[in-house]
Amino acid sequence: MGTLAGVLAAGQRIPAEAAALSSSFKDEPFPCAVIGFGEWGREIAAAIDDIEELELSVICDNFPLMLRRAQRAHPQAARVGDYREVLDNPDISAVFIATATHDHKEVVLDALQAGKHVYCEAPLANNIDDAREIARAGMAATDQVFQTGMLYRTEPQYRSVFGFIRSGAIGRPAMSRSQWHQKTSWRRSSSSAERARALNWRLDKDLSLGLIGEIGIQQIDVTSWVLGQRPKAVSGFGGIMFWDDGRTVKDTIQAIIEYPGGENMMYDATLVSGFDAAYDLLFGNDATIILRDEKAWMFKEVDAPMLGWEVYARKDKFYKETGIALLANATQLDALGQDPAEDDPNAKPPIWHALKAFADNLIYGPFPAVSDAQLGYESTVVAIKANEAVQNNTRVEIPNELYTL
Amino acid sequence: METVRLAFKAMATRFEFMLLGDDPVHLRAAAEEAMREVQRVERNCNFYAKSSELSRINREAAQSPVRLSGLMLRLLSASEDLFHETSGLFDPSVAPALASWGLRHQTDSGRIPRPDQLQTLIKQIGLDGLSLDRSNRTIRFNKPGLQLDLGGIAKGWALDEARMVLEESGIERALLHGGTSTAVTIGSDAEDVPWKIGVEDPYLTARSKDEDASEERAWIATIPLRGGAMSVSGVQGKSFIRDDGTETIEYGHIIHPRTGRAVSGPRLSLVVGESATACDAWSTALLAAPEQDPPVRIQGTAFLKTDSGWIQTAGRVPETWLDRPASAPSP
Repeated sequence: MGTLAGVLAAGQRIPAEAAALSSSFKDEPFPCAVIGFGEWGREIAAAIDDIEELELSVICDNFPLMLRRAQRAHPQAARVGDYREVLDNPDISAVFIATATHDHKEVVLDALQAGKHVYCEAPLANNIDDAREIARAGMAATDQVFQTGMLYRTEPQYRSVFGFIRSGAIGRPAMSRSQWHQKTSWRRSSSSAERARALNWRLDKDLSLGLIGEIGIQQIDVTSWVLGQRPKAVSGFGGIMFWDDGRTVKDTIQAIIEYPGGENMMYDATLVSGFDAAYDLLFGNDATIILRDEKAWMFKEVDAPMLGWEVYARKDKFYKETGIALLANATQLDALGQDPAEDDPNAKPPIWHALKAFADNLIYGPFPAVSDAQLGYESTVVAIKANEAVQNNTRVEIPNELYTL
Repeated sequence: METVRLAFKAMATRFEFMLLGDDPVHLRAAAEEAMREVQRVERNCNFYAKSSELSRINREAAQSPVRLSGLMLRLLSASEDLFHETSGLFDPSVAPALASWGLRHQTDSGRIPRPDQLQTLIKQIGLDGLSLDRSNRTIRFNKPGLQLDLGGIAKGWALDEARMVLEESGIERALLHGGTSTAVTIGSDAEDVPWKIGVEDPYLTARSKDEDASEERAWIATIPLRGGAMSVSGVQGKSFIRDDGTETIEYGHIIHPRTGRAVSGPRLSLVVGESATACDAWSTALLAAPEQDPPVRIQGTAFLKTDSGWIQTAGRVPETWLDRPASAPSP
């Protein structure tokens, strides 16, 4: 089962009495269900399989083809086509909701009503009213775990960099820049035209929050987290540059996100080119940090003060720059006799850490999740407004009161 | 009829999918889904990535049972079945031997282990040294030094998974290959005739290039496939050559599971059947098979090419497939 040390590493806020209670927890894994077995649902299911505190008991999807895939990938799990069957099942204690964004509300509200612990993917919804309703319901369910899918809040490398920046290592934050580049149509296939339309909700501007809302939401959250601020406005641009296949969502977008402190974040995403993939850059007057593939490097300015430890740190060349490797668990790796420069054998994807935090909350909680209802709601507000700016090629302000639940 | 091609790198090689149909938008979307299946298999089965599921099994299964993902359980179950079908000639536990022969990495230059090292290696090899608990989804290594490398089957498995995804998406005509050594097809080509896949004789090609006689490839067979699969394995590629003064021997990256020795060439095996997984594993196994007594339980058609000619090992090889006729096994 999970350990308190593991919980602390994931940054959970644990009530003092949790440790004393831990001995009373059962040893069997928590039976849980995944609702929605599309691409992301499959990632969630794979991560659950790799967490010993969780047992994937049921997979739910209303598309029989997805259930056939579920059978191949997770033969031990029962398969159902209606999520109400999951909610009526008293053996299921937790549900992971990975349906289309616009379908979250009904499932989340019903699941909370049924007394299930709920993990809801981000964005919570494709409109403010639904997002608010979901977040309020999650907040009101104080006896249940409710976690939203802001992945980097529980990812060890990002958490490590967050603390590092907050300790002043990059000096005064000046700006940030993030990108997500992948050559893919973003289209799902089906032998049925009707089903294909339903599966491709991401490409429909009336249902989807587009690249900035479905993907960028995670990266924008990193800057908001580091700055400790919420965006006040977004200017968006973009177009359908290549995948002109009837979609109404742009395949290439740019945005500038403004913060109250005067910092701006530049963001771009494209489905046209995979060049340079995805990363986040955080610029300060003393140093700049790049995060990519759950790894991080710091590039110091010549006049930056010495931190002391960087003399001994591993350094990697990036063209004419030298990056100091920032490793979230360098001390542990050294202790295990492993070279921090090598592939970390214990590396897990961000979704694994998010679900592990959820599992620990099931064991020791419920206590407010790191990615709680408020954070999920605020991030969804930013995603909705940013998408509005991108779709209309305009600047959209986000009034502070919109962040209030 | 429209054609959509998709190429990508996975499993240290290049995969290429060619799909035919009326709607290129649908074809592209289906090809991308199939690609993601291959990438999923690669992510779990990567021998070199320390964070992969396979690496975790290799690290931990000797200490205690390791819980398996559904994908890995199905793949290891298929591997175990093929290990028995091939009388142990397909054995994914030869990984330590590859390292000892200096054939693990592309940059390795190759070396011949000492006899005592070979004796140690033989003890480490053998899929019978693991316990695969299919109902509890766990694996446990019972033999010291056992390591799994699924390189002899994962490509075929990934192509079978990709084909299944394409068929589920309603694709009726497609040709998929991984590294040009394993291929699967759906239906037939645009003219409604079977897909034709040429098989090159790497030794004749190399020889003709050495002699500067011809840059043309030496095709030794043309395989018609309509919904079937095929796989080719050879000693060449990742190999090294040693000359002890009396003979020159090329040692390839296929390890004979019973002797721990690298299979020496020139040899090339070709297997045609329904399942790319089985073709991939069987083509590896046949390279280690004795010429005079090849296994015959293979589901499909297979033959082996050596310097002495074709040796038909199973099934009936239509003469029209071969650019030169097959011969009986050498006396």
